[in-house]
Amino acid sequence: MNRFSRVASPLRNVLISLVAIVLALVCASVLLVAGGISPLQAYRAMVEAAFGSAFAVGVTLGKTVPRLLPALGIALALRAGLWNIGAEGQIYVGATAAAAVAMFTPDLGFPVSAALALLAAVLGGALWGLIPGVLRAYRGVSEVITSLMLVYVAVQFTNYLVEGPWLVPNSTFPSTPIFAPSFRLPIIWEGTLVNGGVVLALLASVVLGLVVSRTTFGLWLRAIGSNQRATEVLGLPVRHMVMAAMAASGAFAGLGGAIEVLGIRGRLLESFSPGYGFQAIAIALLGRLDPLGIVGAAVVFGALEAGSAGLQVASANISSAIAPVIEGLAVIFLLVGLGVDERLARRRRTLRALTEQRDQQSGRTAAA
Amino acid sequence: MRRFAMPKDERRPAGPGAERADASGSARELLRLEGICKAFPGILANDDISLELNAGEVHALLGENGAGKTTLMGVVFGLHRPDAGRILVQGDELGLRGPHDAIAHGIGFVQQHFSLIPTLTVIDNIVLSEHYGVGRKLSRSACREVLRDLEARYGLAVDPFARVEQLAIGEQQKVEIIKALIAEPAVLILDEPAALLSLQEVEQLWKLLRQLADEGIGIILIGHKLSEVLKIATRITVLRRGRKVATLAAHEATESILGELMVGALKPRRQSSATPAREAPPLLELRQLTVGGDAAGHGVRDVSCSVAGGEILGIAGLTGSGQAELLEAIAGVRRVEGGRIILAGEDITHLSVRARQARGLAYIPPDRHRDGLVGELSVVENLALGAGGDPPVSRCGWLQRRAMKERADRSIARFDIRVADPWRSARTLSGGNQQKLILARELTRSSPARHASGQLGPAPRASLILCCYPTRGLDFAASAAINEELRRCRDQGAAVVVVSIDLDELLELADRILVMQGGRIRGETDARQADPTRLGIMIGGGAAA
Repeated sequence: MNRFSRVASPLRNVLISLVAIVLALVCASVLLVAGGISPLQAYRAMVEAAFGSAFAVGVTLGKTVPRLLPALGIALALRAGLWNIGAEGQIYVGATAAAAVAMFTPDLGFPVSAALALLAAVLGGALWGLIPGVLRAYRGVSEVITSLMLVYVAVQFTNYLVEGPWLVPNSTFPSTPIFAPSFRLPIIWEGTLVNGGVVLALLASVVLGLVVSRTTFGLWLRAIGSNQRATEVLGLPVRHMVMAAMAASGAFAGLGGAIEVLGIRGRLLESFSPGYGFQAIAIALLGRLDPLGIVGAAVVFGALEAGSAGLQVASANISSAIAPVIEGLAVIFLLVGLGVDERLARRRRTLRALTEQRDQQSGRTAAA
Repeated sequence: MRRFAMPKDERRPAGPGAERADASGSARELLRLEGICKAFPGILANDDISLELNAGEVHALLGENGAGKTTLMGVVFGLHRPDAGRILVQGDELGLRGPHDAIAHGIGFVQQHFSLIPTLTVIDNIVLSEHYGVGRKLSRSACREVLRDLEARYGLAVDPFARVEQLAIGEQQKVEIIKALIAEPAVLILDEPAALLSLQEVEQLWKLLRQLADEGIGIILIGHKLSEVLKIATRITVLRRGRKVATLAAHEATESILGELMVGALKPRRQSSATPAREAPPLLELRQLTVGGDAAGHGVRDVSCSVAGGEILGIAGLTGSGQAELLEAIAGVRRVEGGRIILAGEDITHLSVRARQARGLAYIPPDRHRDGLVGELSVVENLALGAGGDPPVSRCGWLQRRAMKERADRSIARFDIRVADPWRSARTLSGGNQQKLILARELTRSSPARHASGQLGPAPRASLILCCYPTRGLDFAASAAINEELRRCRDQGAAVVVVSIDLDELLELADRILVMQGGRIRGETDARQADPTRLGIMIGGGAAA
């Protein structure tokens, strides 16, 4: 069992994550001051760049989606107590599978072709998640190590394809040709870069919520995450569940990779992900494994990325590296906050037990 | 001789001679507890407990499981911070910050669960322990000297270079005692030290404790076996449900007085109401079953026995004699190395847990927190887990919350589980209710075959029920309820196997008793004609009958 699969009251969850983010912003402002920049001005510029116009919101959403989907997958695995650290690799495999469909299957017109590409991505991501799942289920190999190692395999394999066999001729940057429009996700908001991937990501969030709380699979998942030994004694199919959870986790990440290449980029590029899969771990934790919370945390991360890119444009003194600083600090404060919260909760329970028992006893003596 | 902190104003002469005189003469107070309160979620473990310990006495702390004995000693040793009350060591009030503090103030604690590192040698364990202390040279040779000294004084001989995992339980306990003594404690606390020892080892231990007491050490002994306690204690304090019931001198106490104080009223000795065992064909048959053990236990060697429907088979033995492993193997949780398990004529040796459940097997695991409950899930969800993925709780993979709730309500009513809100996490229940929850889950499990034949609803229907320590840590009322349920299952024709280390309980509950020791069956007896003394000897590994 781990403290992330323990879910306290929703309100407290939100509060802890919000406090963590605010504290991170406060700490980062110290860095900004040290760099001779007014934090207020900097943050205002960031908010402007992230939400100031329809286009800005579109940029933020575009940066949110590829972080949101793998985060949903990581949360799913973590509900079962499994750490899928390798979402980054599953993103690459998903994107590459989608690209393969876009490049080598006949054009069947828009919804069909795009759907096939997305399906290939889901399957590819699932396969990449399944490998650590199988090793964990049958050999007890830590999924942390295997999923992480598979990241490098996936990234290098994608790089090989775009630098070699799939390389578009006369290109300055390793990439495939632009995909045919029927394989791509259309823009759904005029005047912005927001594409159909946003809808898919929101749907995926709803699906995750339903699966975890309303299905037998979800109940078993949570049971395994809370007490695996008990579920083995209960006779639940723990091995199958472990494999299924890792595969499903990978499927979410794979879908995220496909949305990135079929939506925003329109082609498969070398190193197209700046570490979405790793940031997604932080997002899943900040969202406290709750789909709604994860959507919120992903938007915060998307806004930070969009904002810091805008900030760099506005002022040459600031590196866009301020975003990962804030993100990292937020996770650290979250961990501290969870620890503090746990202590407080324990103390509250103890006090309640004490007063309850006292009340009972005084009630008994009064009755007698 | 003593290195523990003495009060700064030397009102008393210090030194071994003075202490010896004190011990025999007017008692010198070493430790005083005043109004200790300690609450845990859902339970007030200690409620206003006061206690004194004098030099040279063996003060026994008696009480049923869950009476608060271990918690109280945990408070004294700095493991738990009391919510209220004072701890005074030789007149000085302590605010203990942890065990290291308690050790520095001359308190030693041999806990029931050993805190040894199995892969290290005895001497390394001792050097690394907090008891070894600051100011001592952190070297094996220095430690060796101290060990030789202890051996000369108390005859406590253990091979210092043996790895702890190679030692028998009794030897491991010796290491724990050495660890505690090495800090030269003024107060030595032992938690159920006799529970795991053979009769001979217990005798040796008592001799050691008497010697320590004669030297002026105050000893607190936690126990729940009356006869053992009466043999060694000079004073006895009885706790019941977190409160102190009485402190009396040992010569005023008898087993019946103490028993009454512990449980509140005399337990009516229940006669097993079984009809004489019918000559029914065995429901469960084990043939030369061999099961691997692990660090804590022996595993099972070549066990053959059988159980018929309508009987309760009790398995007695010391902890770690292979009983738990035996049940795990039958339940399908532990791999079988050799032999066969036959259930109702069918070989189930290599079937999955679920397949065994479908054939009517129910298993109550030994540790409800570790193996039984999914504490984060609600009571309703825990009960739903027993339903597998079958209707009406689950349809096409979707949970049916109303059916789940109905099932839970029926189980809660049927098994008298006290819950404030069935949607609250199972962790918040008291131990007895958690155990009833597991019992309800296992006994009302719906198997696909039975579902097909239309038998629904949470009525007990398992044909073979395996229980490992079903009443461990429960109070009297909860234990009685669980045992009553098991009898009811037996009367309805189920075969019940109960593992317990409490022989009295087994004698009361079971129709037939097997004794296991070292992974083998050492003897078998009809429970109604059993001779507890002979059983006790068998359990301790004495001459088998």
